[in-house]
Amino acid sequence: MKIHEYQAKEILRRYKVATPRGEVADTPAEARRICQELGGKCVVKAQIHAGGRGKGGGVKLAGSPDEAQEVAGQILGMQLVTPQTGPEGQLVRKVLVEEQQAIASELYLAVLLDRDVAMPIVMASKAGGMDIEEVAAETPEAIIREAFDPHLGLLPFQARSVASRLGLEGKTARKAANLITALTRAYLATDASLAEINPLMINADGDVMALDAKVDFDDNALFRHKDVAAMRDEAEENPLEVEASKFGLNYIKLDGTIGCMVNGAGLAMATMDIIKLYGAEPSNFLDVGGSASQEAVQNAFRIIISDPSVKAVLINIFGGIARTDRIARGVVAAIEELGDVTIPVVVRLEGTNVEQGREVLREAKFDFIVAQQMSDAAEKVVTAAKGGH
Amino acid sequence: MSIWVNEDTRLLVQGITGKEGEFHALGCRDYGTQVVAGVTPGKGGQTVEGIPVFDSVAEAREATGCNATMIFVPPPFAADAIMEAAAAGVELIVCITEGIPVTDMLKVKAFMADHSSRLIGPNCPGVISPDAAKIGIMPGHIHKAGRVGVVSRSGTLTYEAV
Repeated sequence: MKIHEYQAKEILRRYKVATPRGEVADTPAEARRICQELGGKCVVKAQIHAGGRGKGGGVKLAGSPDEAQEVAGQILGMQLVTPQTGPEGQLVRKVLVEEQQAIASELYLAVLLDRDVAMPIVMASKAGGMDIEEVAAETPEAIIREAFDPHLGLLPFQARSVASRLGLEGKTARKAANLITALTRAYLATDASLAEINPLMINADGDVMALDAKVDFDDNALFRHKDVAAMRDEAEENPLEVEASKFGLNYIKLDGTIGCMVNGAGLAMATMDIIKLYGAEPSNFLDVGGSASQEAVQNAFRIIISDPSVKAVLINIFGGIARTDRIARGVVAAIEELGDVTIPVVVRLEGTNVEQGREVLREAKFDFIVAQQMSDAAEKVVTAAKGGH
Repeated sequence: MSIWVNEDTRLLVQGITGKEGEFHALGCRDYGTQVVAGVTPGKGGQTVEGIPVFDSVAEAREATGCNATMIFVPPPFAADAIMEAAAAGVELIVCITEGIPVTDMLKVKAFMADHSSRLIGPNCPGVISPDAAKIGIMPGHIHKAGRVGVVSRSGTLTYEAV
């Protein structure tokens, strides 16, 4: 799960990570008031889940409360386009108003899981403010990595080592080591999957502070972090993905025209591959779950076809424990409930009771295109999407 | 040989009193697996379709000599269930549960390093030796005995492959 920058900073402050003073606002008048309280100068930052906000005009300096009100007015309500939002952008509903900082240098700092070593690591670099993936690609040796035992936490000598490799000395090195340790504590205590500070700022006085913050969480652990779960902002997520998550469906919106409903993530990925092989693009990834219950199938179908870019649907289900005839009835019930389904639907069923399953499809009022093999199904759905039914 | 399951496997099912646990315990027994015990803390002394239920894995192992376990415990408690089975010395642990927090699995990984049990999963369909025994949720009838072993990271894609 993702959260906003202002929420991430709120969490990090609880673990003693220093951040600039500031407050979130959802109107220009509030932004003005906050700027006033901060001493008259501030930075106004758009709060959306995507990164790269500065490049899209979502971060602006204000030299007075009036100016804060003015720039907040420009940012609030804008469709902010960044390299991570896609061309349509994301609507800005909140801004973070913070005190301005006298930046001496900018570093990169993150805590994340390194699956290769099966341990969390601190990742750091002197190239703050830059896209870390670019740094990793161009100068991999410039990235500092320090793995630590999740049960012992980051040890003091490890924190000092990271600070030293960042080229920090004296008081600044000590402050940085403390902040790095605090970030690892926040990461572990909240079951985060990523805690990133980019840039980590050092000012002229040698103070160390999180100028930006991004924290993502392990969805599977949210049951024990109610406070974090409450920070979810559904307005930032794709509406179809939000709807799917309510029914426990694993749905990801993609750019193509073939709607896919498959049971099992591996088979779903293989299905997407075979659709591409036959010359079309999937409009989504959807795993209805290994058991593919009738309710899951019904909701999945409704969600898939509510996407206007879908030209044809491919249902590919291997009924193992879930019997194929029952799955077929779920599909038929879903279509009958929706009433006016006009797009072609290709169904490929395999597994337990497959003959009865195909019989259910043949007897339905809706004209299903029944396929036998995966390749046959992919070919049929691609043809159908092009109007060659 | 890398055959983990056979006619001599004596299977324990952790979480046997849950709906999924019971359904698949019986599915394994119908396939021919010796399902000798179940564990659900607080429900020791009950039986599920003739299978005795114990409060702990240690008790179940003591009483039945189980040498493999299949875990259907919900995600918040699944990591503990795996470690309990390893502590009791159960040789093969198959964890079906999906959605276990990553930090819980980091604990499990560290714990398993000091124990001799083998862990398959979590979030897996299990292990099957066609015509001998199965520990898991895969449909038995699609698997045919032969000389090729299949190891996979995907449940339904494996069904496609076999």
